[in-house]
Amino acid sequence: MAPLLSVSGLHTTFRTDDGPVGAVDGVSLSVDAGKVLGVVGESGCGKSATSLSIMGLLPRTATVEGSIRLGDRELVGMPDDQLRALRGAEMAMIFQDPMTSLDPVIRVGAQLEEAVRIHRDVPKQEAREMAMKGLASVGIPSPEERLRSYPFEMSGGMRQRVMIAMALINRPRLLIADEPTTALDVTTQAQILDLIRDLRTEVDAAVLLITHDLGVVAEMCDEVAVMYAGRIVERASVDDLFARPQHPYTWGLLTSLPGRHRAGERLHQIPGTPPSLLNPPPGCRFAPRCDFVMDSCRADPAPALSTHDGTAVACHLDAATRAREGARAARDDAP
Amino acid sequence: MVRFLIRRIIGGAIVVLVVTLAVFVLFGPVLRMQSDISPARLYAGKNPTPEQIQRVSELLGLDKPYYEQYLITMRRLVVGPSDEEKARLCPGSTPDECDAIVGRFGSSFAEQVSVDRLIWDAFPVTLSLTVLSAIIWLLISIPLGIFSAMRPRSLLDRSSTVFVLIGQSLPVYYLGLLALYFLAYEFEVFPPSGYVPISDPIGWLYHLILPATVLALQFAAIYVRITRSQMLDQMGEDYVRTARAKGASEKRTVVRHAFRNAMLPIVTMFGLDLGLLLGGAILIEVTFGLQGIGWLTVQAAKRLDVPTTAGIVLFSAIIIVIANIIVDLVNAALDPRIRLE
Repeated sequence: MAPLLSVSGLHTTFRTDDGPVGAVDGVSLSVDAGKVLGVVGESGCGKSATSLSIMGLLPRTATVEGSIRLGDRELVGMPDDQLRALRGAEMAMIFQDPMTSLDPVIRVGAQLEEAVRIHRDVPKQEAREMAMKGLASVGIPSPEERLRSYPFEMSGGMRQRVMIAMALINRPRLLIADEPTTALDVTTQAQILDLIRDLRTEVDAAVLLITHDLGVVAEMCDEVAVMYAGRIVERASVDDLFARPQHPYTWGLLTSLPGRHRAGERLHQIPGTPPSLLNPPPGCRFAPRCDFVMDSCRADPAPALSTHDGTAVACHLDAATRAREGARAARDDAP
Repeated sequence: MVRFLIRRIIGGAIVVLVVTLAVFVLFGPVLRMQSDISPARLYAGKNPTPEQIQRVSELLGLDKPYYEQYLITMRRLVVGPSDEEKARLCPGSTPDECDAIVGRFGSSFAEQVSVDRLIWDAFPVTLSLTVLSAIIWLLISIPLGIFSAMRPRSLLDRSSTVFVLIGQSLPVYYLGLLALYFLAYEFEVFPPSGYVPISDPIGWLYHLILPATVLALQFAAIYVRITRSQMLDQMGEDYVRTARAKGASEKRTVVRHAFRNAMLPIVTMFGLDLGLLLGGAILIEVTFGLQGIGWLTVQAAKRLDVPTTAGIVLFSAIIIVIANIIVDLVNAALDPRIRLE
């Protein structure tokens, strides 16, 4: 069976005053229905640009090349009105900051009803009914009253629930969640993640979960793609990623996790900062920060993703070193 | 909502009270200290004898202490002139005749007529000019501002920037004179001056369209700029992205979401500008010979007609306070967050 979402060779470039910035540089990934793919990486690595490219929500200054297939439809180059018909119906997205993601002057109920009526020609009463069920399904108490609330009358967790209800109201086949819990406190985070997991099974949607939190990845995902500076450096099942990480960047991420260091010891960190995407270095983009860097790493062409034991990794290191160092990074239990 | 309204009205009443006090002090004691124009003397006509001045002083109640004068003034403003005052100021005339001479705002020095009458005759002119002009400037600036924000740096956006610069840097009297010269004098498309009451709508529009448009162009320039910047701000907000992610059309996103939010500061500014203009658009009224509040202000000032000037200041203050209250109410209706504060 073909994957529900299949992205290949995605290049997203922003035109800026200083020149083109290649935020996404040849990303390929795919998600099956009912599965969760996590995309991890630090800020500015192109996670969000990837998800916005799929949704077609990038500003005019961005150009998207490559292929994005949803089911049997190609989204790159699709006319605006056709893409619009898919957004909110076949694919939906929830965003990082629930505090600002709802329209502040419109009642929550009206915003949910709008999501229904944009795509379906149903009577107002029925849309209202669906909005109420939507709120109930995300665990909002007394949904009928809550329809009449304004966003500012709700807490952050409550608003994120509304966002989720709104995203799922038309039963999309693909749900993109862009750091859905980053702005929430820890207890609310867990509730929201549980909710996404439950609803995913219920709706049988494919989920693309963007996060920088490996804990969230371990808890939620079936597969993981690790991004660095606009490229995917490692793609693996969640078990493999934590048990046998292959890429030096992934090792750095794993050993940097708090809770993996002993008390009184400094937290491990990856030295240096990610390169500027305005003028990226040739070869492997992680080379300047890599402990295992070799001469071939600093020259084009950059290492391509190649698959070993089910894990795709973009690295010149030999298999033996990767196995040894990967085991060292994964020495402790996964978070 | 009712409590909100009551609070705003009380606040407005306090402002009006302070203004009455300031007007009384400035146009009474202070004016007399600065010059020796005594109101009594101005009333008494040319070269009056001291006895005549003394008699007028008594007639006007100016011989009483200031606090008493203020209380009388306030009483007159709130409940209208007392019978005693009417009897004193217009003995032997019918009540109707007397109403024309004595009013809540006092009587004009220059003419035997109440300030109330002067203001109420002038106000429809200013009101007509302001309302027509406001319609024109909103019709120009809101769409232009929105479209400029939709396509920043486009030809339309750049043209509207030029329009804003021209509109803001050309004074209305200069633009007004140009318009008069070409459209009224050279080509005689529009009448050069005058006002026709709205009971004749076509004549009303025909006489007002030129001054209203000239006035509107200046305001349109400001409103294009604020609409554009507000829209640009709102279009970058997360909720706009949410609307797009729902599959909302561009038109729906812009009108129902972004503009709905961008409107709030525009409404505030609009209400205040209306209030300001209703207190008299002096330059445009004088340029086009429209006998509105602004024109009346100039006349009164030229003739040292203190009661009329003071009356207009007070009247304008009341209009602005009312405009403020209306702005607050409209904003509360538009923005649920304000209602709760």
